[in-house]
Amino acid sequence: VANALINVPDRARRGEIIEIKTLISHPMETGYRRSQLGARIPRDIVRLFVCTYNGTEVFRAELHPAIAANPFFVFSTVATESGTLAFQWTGDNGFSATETARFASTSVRRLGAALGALALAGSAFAAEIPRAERRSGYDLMSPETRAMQDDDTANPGMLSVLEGGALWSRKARRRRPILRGLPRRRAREHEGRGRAPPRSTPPAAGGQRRAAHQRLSRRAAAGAGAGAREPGAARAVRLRGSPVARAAHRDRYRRAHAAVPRRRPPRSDRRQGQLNLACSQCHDDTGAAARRQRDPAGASDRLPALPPRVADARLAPASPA
Amino acid sequence: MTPAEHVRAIHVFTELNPQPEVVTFRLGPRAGRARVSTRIRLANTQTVTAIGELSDGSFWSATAAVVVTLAACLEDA
Repeated sequence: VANALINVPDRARRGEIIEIKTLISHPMETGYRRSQLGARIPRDIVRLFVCTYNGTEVFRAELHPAIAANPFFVFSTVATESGTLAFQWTGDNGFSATETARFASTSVRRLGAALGALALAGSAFAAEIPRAERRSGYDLMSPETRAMQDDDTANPGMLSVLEGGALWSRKARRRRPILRGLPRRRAREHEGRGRAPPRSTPPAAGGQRRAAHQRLSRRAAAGAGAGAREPGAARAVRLRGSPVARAAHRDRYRRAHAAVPRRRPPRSDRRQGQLNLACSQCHDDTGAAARRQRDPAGASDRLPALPPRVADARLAPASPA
Repeated sequence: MTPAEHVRAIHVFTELNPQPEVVTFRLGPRAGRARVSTRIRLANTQTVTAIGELSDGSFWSATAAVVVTLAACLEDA
C-alpha cells in the first residue's frame, strides 16, 4: 500500500494557473544495485505518472531509474472548471496507485495562501566541505531545503508520519487466552466452549506403542507414578493414558482456564496504541490515583466523580456573596 | 502556452549515469506554464541536459553542471 501526499489549492479563479505537488512512497529500486551477497537487486520503479483534470489528461511523466525514491513532482495546470483531479502512478511488479483531489474554480478571489514556488536546482558549484566544518540543523539549511521541510507535501518524512498515523489508529489484534499445557490446536477447539478437558485414549492400533502404553498405565496405577520417572518410556508415549498424567493434565487445564476470565481494567488504565501506554500513566484526572488509594488491588472498575476541570470552573455559577 | 504554441514535452538526460534518460514530462496547452520540479539521482559530478519540445516542432536545450559531493539516501549502506 503506497502512501501519497497531494497538494492542490482548494479553489482558484477561473483561468488562473494552479500549482500541484505530488509525493508518493516508493523505493524506486534502480536495478543497478547489488545486495550484500552480490546478487543484483531487480529493478522496481514507477514507470508512469498521469494527472487528469475531469477526465482530460493535463500532465504525464515517464520515469526512469534516475528518479529518486519517493517520486516528487511539482507541475501546473490552468483552472478551467471545478471538478476532480485524478492522479495515477503505475510501475514495475504491477504497482498501481490512484489518488483524487476535489478542486473548486470560482470567480471570487482565491482564498488560501499562494504556494511558494519551489526551486530544487540548488547551487551548481558547491565545493566539498571539510569534515570538521560540516554542520546540520534547520538554521544552517539552504532556503531550498528549508522550503522542503516547511512544506509537508515536499517532505518525504511526512510519508513516515502517515504510516505512523495508520499504525496508531489500527485496532490491536485480539489476544486469545493461552491455555498452557495444551497443544495449540486443542486449545483452539476448546476455547470458550466449557467442554471437558481432552482425554487421551490409548493408541488404537496394536504394536509397540500400545504395548508400552499398557505397561506404563499398569505401572503408574500400581506404583505411585513410578513409570513417570522412567525416562525412555516416558518419552515413548508421554504417559498420556496413565492416571497420574491425566490428573496432572486436568490440573494444568483448570489452572489455565482459571486464569482467563480476568476483568478488564477501566479504560483509563488500559494500555493501548503504538506506545502501549494507558491514559492514567500520564494524566492525573482519570481517577486512577483515587482508585488506587481506595482499592490497592485494582479490583474496582467504577470511576469516581472527576474533579472539576479548570475550564469548567468558568461555567460554574458565581457563588452568592 | 496556447493551443497554437506550447511546450509539448521536457526531456531530462544525464551524461554519466548508468542510463542517460532521467524523465520525460508531457505537457500541453492546459499546463499553463512549462515548469516542473522533481528529484533525481546523479551518479557523479556531471552535466544535466534538458530538452524542450515545442508544438511548432522545434527543440530547445539547456544544460546545468552539477557537483556531487557526497552520496546520499543510502539506507542500507
